[in-house]
Amino acid sequence: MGLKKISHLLILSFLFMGFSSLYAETPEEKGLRLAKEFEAANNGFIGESGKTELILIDAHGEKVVRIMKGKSKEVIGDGDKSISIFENPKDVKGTKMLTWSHKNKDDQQWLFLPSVRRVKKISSKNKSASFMGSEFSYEDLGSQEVEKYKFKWLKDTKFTGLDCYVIERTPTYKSGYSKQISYIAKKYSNPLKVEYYDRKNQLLKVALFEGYEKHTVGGKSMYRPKSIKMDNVQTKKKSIFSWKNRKIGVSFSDNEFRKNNLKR
Amino acid sequence: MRFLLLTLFLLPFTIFAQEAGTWSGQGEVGFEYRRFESDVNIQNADTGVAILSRVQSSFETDIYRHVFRAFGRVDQKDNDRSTVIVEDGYFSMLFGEGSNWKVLAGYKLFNWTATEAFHPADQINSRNYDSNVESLEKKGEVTIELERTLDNGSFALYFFPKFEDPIFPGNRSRLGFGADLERVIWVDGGNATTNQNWGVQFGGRFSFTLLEADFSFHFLHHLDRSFPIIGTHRYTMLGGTAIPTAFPTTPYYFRSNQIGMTAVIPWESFLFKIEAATRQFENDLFIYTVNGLRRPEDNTEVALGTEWSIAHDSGAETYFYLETQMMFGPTESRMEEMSLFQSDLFLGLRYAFNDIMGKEVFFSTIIDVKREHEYLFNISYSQRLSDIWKIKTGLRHYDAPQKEATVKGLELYDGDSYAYLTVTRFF
Repeated sequence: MGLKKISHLLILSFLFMGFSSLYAETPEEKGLRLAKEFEAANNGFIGESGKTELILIDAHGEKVVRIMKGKSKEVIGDGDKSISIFENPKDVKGTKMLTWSHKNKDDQQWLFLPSVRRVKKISSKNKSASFMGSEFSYEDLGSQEVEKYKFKWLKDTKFTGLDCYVIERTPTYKSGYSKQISYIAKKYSNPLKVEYYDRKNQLLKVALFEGYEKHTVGGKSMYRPKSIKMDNVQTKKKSIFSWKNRKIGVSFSDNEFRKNNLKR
Repeated sequence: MRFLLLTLFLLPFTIFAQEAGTWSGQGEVGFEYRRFESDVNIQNADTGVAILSRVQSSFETDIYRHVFRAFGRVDQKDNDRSTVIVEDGYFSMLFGEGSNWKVLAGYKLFNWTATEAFHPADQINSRNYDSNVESLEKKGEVTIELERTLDNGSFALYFFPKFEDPIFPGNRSRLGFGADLERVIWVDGGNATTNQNWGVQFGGRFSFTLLEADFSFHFLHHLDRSFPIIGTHRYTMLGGTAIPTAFPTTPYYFRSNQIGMTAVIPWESFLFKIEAATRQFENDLFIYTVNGLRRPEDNTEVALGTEWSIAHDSGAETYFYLETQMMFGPTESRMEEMSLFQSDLFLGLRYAFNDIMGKEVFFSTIIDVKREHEYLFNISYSQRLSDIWKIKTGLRHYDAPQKEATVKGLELYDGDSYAYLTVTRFF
């Protein structure tokens, strides 16, 4: 091989290496790409309604049930709007929480307190507070906009017999967690398991998403879990969030998610 | 007239009840015990033992809603405290393109406040003065409302044809004025006085969200509910001195024009709040009072506040409240006569455990920053006993010794501190 050929080969090799390093996805890029794909797969639900049951189980196995009605409306280009109406326990029956989530700024939240007929704006900054005494926090149940996290793909694996991506996401806002590790089923484009790490980077909670059901909206298939079981590994308390009469593809008017409609 | 109102109220119900809709009902029955610190007057009711109840029923379709909610209390020790209040009793209907219009008619309880302790903008409903001074119980007001929903808010016009009489404590009440007050007299222009409750009141409110902040502006032409004058208009002038010919124990309410606003502005973990109202009275009648001849004076009240919350790793939250209210317009001594909170500071702390039982501790104090030695301390604890039972207990302590010949501000309540316990069963 002549010197000229060797030099051409070297140049080609350098070019190839340059291109491959240019186009090779880093774990962060892959994580972000997958997150956007999952978001796109779950978009298009238009609106969703249903009744939710929240079972709180303490360390001794004692159970308490909370019941809510809820509906949400997809907002193209921004976060969704949702409203939850509490039915049980009875002392908070009729309390409504309206949330306008946003992709690039803080969510807006209002609480309607029926006993004093007051619509009260509440700060959405403290998302780490417990939701109704459960192991779920407000940020677990709020919208999970891609823009609010940094992502990192960790590995591909199998979980409960299904192929999964394991993706780490780190919140970019004030959060109760240092990171979350999600096992996302390729089949469902949704998580089967999420591990939540506290601010000291210790494992705090594990959520299991169970009973995925297929829904078809406008010819597009999407999956939603029937329940989420949250185990607090530090306190040994558990909470189970489950849906009943879930309807997807429901069209709601904007008025139903306005502040003044809370006290209609 | 009552029959006509009832018929009008029930007519839409009979029409829309045929449609597919949702009925819901809820309520509560409670036992309330109050124990005041002892005083020298054996006539006073130092103990209150009451049964209270609130019931609500509603029927709702996509466009129609019908609500009835009433509150009742029977006090075994102080009959004057026994009352039944209709808080809500209205029907509302959406109409127009996109259901952007709403019409509502019936009794309605409003809450326009943005702050926790001081409420200059929240003036529509008449109050029950035998309740906490910073959060007085309200009576529903007969209302006809027309509301237009806008992209980021709403605009509403109101007509209030009836003035609801406020509820004053009786002469045995420790929170009262030491005498049974006469029936309210409404002073409605041109020296006219009446205890007829029908007349013309109206208002409007524009509320909207701009960026992340909530704003509202309102106007009211109504019989003001914040600045009653207790006295009598039955007096004769003798050599420049007013000589009353009746006991000065009648509450007088005056017509006013009010404009006001509220704003709630979030920033990080803070909520900044502004609530203000300025009012002009139709000054047409002087009332003889123990302080001399008085009539309401134009004034402006401004309340500023902030609410700050911290979430703990346990899931609990601590809320801090700091509010102040200032009054402008009348002289200092008149403002002290007119309002409990003419220049006051409110500090509050709420610790919500956010646990299964919803345990909560609340501590607050109101301090008069201009008048010396006037404090109200309040501490309470509440929690569920089960999904349907709840208990609340607390202590309210007034420390405001009388400094002049007549009582002013919180001095009215000095020596009337009390502990209370409420057990409520919800259904």
